[in-house]
Amino acid sequence: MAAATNAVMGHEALPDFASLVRAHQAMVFSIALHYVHDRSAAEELAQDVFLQLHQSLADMQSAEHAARWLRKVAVHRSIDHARRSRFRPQVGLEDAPEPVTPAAPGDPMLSERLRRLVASLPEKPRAVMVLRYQEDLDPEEIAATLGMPVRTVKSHLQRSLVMLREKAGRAFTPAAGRPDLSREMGEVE
Amino acid sequence: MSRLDDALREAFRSQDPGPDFTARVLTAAAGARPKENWWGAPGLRWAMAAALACVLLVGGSIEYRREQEERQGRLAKQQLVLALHIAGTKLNLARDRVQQLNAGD
Repeated sequence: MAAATNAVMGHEALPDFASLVRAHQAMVFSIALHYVHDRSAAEELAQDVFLQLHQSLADMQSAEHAARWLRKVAVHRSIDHARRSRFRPQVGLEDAPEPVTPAAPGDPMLSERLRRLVASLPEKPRAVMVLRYQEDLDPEEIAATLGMPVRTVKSHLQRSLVMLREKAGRAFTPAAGRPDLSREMGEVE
Repeated sequence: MSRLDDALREAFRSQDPGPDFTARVLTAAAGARPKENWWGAPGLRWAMAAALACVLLVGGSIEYRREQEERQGRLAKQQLVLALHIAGTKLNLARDRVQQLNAGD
C-alpha cells in the first residue's frame, strides 16, 4: 500500500535495509568523521545511526525520506557526541604540521588543515560547514536539516569562511616563505 | 566559485568507512530487538480503547450517582428546614393561645 502510494506520488520505493546501508554508509560515516574528527568514533556513530534507522524502518516512506532522515540523524548524533565528550581537536591547531609545498586544492595537507580548522568551530557552524561542503546542500536545505532559520545558516557560513580565510592565510604567510593562500583563494561567493 | 570553496569541497569529500562496516551494521541490526511499537498493534489498540471506554463509563456512572445523592440530600435538607419552620410557627401560635387563655382566667 505504502509502496503504491509512493509510486503514485513519484517517490522511489524504499529499498531493503542492507541496500540503504550500502547506499548511504559513506554519507553517514563522513558526516560523523568530519564533525568529530575521529575515525573510530565516527564508525561507532554511523553504526548507531543505522541501528536507529533499522528500528524506525516502518516509518520511512521512500528512499529520499530515508536519506534525509539519515543525514539529519547523523548530524544530530554527531552534535550530541561532541557535547557529551566535550570534543576538542586532539592536536591543537598550532601543533598541526604546516605544509612545506605551495598549497592548492587537492593538496592533502591543505585538506587536513581545513578539516582541523572546521573541527575547531562551535557546534552549529561546524554542522553547517559539513553539510555545505560535504553534502553540497544549499542554505535552505541546511536550515531544514538543522532546524534553524536560513538567515542563521547564511550568517554561520559567512563567519566561518571569514575565519577560515584568516587562519588558513596566517598558516601560509608569505613571511614564512610560503604563498599567501588567503590571497590565492580570492573572494568567496 | 572560489579556490577556498574548491579546497573545502576537496577536504570534505565523502569517505568510505572500514571494509567490514556493512557486515557489522547488518550483524548488529540482526541482533537488535525491533522497536516495540505496542501502540501500533491493532488488537491492543482496540483493547486499550475498550478499556478506556469502560473506565469512562464506570467513572461517569459513579459521578452521576454521587450527584443524584447530593441533589436528594439537598432536597431533604430543604424539606426538613421547612418542616421545622412550620412546626416552630405552630408552636408559637399554641404558646400565644395558652397565654391568652391564662390571661382570661
